[in-house]
Amino acid sequence: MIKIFQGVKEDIKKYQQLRSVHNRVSEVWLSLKRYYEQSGCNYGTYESMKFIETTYAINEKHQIYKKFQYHVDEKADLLKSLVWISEGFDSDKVKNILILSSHLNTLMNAGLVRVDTKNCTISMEMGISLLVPYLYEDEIHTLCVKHFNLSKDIVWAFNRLLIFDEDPVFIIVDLMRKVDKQQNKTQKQN
Amino acid sequence: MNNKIIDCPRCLGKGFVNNEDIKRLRREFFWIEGPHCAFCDGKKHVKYDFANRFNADDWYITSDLDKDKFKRYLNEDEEILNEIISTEQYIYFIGNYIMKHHVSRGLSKEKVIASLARELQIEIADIRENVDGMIEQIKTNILNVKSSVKDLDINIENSPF
Repeated sequence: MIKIFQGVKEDIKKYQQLRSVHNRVSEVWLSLKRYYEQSGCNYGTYESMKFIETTYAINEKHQIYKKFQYHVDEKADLLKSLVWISEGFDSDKVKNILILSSHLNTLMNAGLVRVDTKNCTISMEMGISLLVPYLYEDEIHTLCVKHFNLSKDIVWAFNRLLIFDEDPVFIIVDLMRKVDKQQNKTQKQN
Repeated sequence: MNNKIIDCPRCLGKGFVNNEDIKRLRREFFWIEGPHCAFCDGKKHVKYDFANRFNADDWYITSDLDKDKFKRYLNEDEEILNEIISTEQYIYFIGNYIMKHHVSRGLSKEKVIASLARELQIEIADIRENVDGMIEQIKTNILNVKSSVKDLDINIENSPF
């Protein structure tokens, strides 16, 4: 009986939320800020632009840090998660960078590598419709974790190109092997 | 005087320093792997007194250290001691700067060299060699990426090309 009551209560709540769906931008922005407040990590809030910026260590030994941004994009109606892979690459490497990013974009289900050849920057972003975190607040955490895990592999791949100057084709082969290994390990653990 | 002989605390009795020793002693910015341990002179053992006087992670005691300078260091020459302190700070500064701007921010080597030269107020040419050396050290000691492509099987028959 209690379960049924709780179910009905949830349905009413969702119905009310759907009725005020036009408030989703401000609601998701509030949820995002609440999520970071509770996370306990250091971050900066850009109120007028509705984004949060933070840095995370992306290797186990906490030596490589990347800048992450979480943005409520009103125009695109998306909650976006973005990582800066390079904030100023060597313009001589642009051809290989474009080859690698196009390989990665083909392989990824979610996430998009963007290369700005004018400013020599590389970023990788992931986005979900604002409706999703508006109705289910926990989806903010899911997006952040999913994007963070994916960015570890993408940064690994780009470091091989930007620092070790390796060929994009070989990097992709190694990356696919790495991902296969990770998947096998996860399957064995399950 | 204690004449006791102990296993070399730097190379752990191997006679040479490897990547694991460098990581254990947190000297990634200072050393590279080598066939000869400078702390025990490749003998695998050191006198207890020596190990008690100098730390195993003493970055200055290296295989390519000038003998005269080493003697002056053992005699606690003030000029050498001051040089060691300032060089250590300089190496840490360059290492951390490269880790922050080249590795983490992904700025190109040339941009890092230019901004570092600006910050230290010196000519780019004067710093290039140091930055190149430090990047190589970071690549082998910290990033340590090993390509598995060497054993890549390419099946020519099934190749679309």
